[in-house]
Order: sequence, then structure tokens, then C-alpha cells
Amino acid sequence: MTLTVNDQFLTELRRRISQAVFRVCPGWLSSHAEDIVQTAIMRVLDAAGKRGEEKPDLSAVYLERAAYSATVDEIRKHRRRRENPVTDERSIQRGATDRADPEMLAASREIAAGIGHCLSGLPSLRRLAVTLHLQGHSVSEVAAILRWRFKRAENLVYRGLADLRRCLTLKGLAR
Amino acid sequence: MNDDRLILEQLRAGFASLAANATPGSDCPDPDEIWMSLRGELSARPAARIVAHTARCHACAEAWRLGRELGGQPPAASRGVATMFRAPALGVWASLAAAALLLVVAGIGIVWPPASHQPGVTRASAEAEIRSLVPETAPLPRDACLLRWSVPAAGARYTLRVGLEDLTPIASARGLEKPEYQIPAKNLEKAAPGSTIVWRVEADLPDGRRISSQSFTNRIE
Repeated sequence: MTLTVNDQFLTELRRRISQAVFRVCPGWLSSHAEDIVQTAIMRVLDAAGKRGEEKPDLSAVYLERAAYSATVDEIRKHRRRRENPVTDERSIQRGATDRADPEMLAASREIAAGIGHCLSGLPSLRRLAVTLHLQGHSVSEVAAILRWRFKRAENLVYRGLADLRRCLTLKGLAR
Repeated sequence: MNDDRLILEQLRAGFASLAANATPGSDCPDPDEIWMSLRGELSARPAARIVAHTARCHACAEAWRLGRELGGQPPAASRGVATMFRAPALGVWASLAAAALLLVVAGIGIVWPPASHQPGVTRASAEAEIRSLVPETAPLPRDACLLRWSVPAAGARYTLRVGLEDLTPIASARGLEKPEYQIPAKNLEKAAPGSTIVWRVEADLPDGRRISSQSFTNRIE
């Protein structure tokens, strides 16, 4: 079967992918958003062609995945090149700097580094559980992602957070 | 925000802030693998491998949060399995804002509540949410193109981004105190009659959180 898409279909594909890219593309990368959309469209069409489909899948999840992959690839490319002169995070940090003294900012950086260090020192299963919880996932989501029973995920999150607390306390970063 | 939740937000913000200067390595997993993993589509071993990588690679941790923001969720979440704690809809960029704000607020350290608490696990509370109050049915007039949205919390301040479907920027505004914004008519000159605008709101809440709306669409007359 040959891939056959008309202009109307392409317009719809482009519209949906553009919306997904609009949702995730950081401000500092917005000048490349059009490239990201094009990349995602090409990948969707290529994938459909390879699978022998007449038309690409227009489901939201599939197109979001294509938009996500293209966006992450572009972010990685820029981060490797360090092309981004003023990134969102830097301007955010600068915004915070306006309201905080250098000592507090240095302390904030120390806390962040402490979290990273303490996390890396956790036993491996607790580290997995706590990492996902720090990424914003609920216990049930942790269980689903790692294919654990809920009770196991719950115990590992609890214990991992307790370990993290002890470690940060020992570093003088928590009390 | 109760103590447990504040502590968890501080920890999350601190972890997110580590991505600010992160550079991806040569061993970073493919974005598709990250997406499949966060949607619970990988088996236990490869999923554990990806998560373990994000624990030490802050660039991939950032990519993970980006996917989560876009809608990558494991099926358990959508099935409504009881959750102990559900995070606010912090985007990856909003997480960095929260990182800066919460860590500055924390200042000298993270203060845990008295011992015997199990940190970071609290019952779900009502989620702050931003909804469009602009009906999608009727096209918006160019000379009175007013975007309005629901108030997620009293005292919130808003950042708005508006673009065309092809991502051409139309307008943006920061520090809005009211949940509305009228797009200047001249900004809509780029928009063809009948075209669609895409808009998104981010809110800085008084408790230090930052939440994002989904993308809304409306037609222009």
C-alpha cells in the first residue's frame, strides 16, 4: 500500500503537531519551532510509509510522541552546542536573583547539589522510586512505570524519602 | 500548602534546578524510549534502566518532565487508581521557575515537619487548574479579541502566549493580574480571516507554585 495524503490531510497533520509543539517548546527555542514541526511531520510520514500504511495515524498520543521526540532532539542539539544565549531557565534564575541576595542563592544551589548527591547515594530501588516521585509522579504512577505492586512502590518511596532526609540533614541542608 | 507538600515541592524544585546547566551525554536514551517508559509501555528492566539514567543525567530528567507535561502518563494514572499525592501540572520550564522561587524561599535549608511524618506523601487535594472561558463556537472579533480564563487561586499572576497554528507569535504578556487579555487588533493583522489562534496561560500562584493550562484554540473572524 502506498502512502497517499492530500493537502487537507497534511494541513490537519500540521495543525495537530504544531499544537503539540506549541505546548512543549521552551521559549528560548521558539525560533526553531517551525523546524521542529517539520521534523515531526517528516518522521510521521516516513514511519507510515515504512509500515505500508495508506495514511499516517492521526491519534493525539502518536502525534504528541512525534512532537515530543523532535523537540527533545532539538533541545539536545542546542544544549550540546550551547547555542542558547539566553535560556528560559537563566532568565528565571535572573528573576529570582532580583529578589534574593547572593548568599541565599548560593545556599539554594548547595541544596540542589545536595539533593542530587544524596539521591545518587540511595540504594538502587529506592533511588528509582524517589527519582520518579521527584519528577512529579504519584506512588501509583511509580508503580505503573516500574511494573511494581502499589505497596512495594509505596514502601520504596517512603523509605527513599526518609533516606534522602537523613542524608540532607547530615549535610546540614535540612533540619 | 501543608508542610509535607511544601517539602516535596522544595525537593522537586531542587531536583529540577539541576537541569539548568545540564548537557546530554552520548549514552542518553532515545526520546522515544523515554516517552514509552513514562507511559508505562516498557517492561520492568528497560524501564528501570531509563529511570536510573534520569536519576544521574539531569538533561534526560528534564526531557522526562517535558514528556510528562505533554501528556505522557502511565495507564494507572488515567484509570484513576488511588493516588497518595498528585503533583501540580508543573511543566519543565515552570519547574525551573519553581526551583528558583522555592529554593530562594527555602534559603538556608529544607525544614521537615516533626519526626514520625512520612515525608512527601499526603492525600490529594483539589488541583489548581486553568480553563478557558472563551466559547469555541463563535469566532472572536478582531477589534475585541478578549481571552479570558478561570482563576486557579486568588492572587495569581499570569503569563500568556498566543500564536497562530503555524506557531507564528501573535502576542505575549507577563505579570497579568487579571485573568483576561485583549489582543491588540494590530497584532491580528498576520492572522487570515477564519484562522485559528492557539493560546496558553501560565499562572504563578501565591504559594510559589507555577501551573500551566493546556493549549486553547479559537477562531478569528
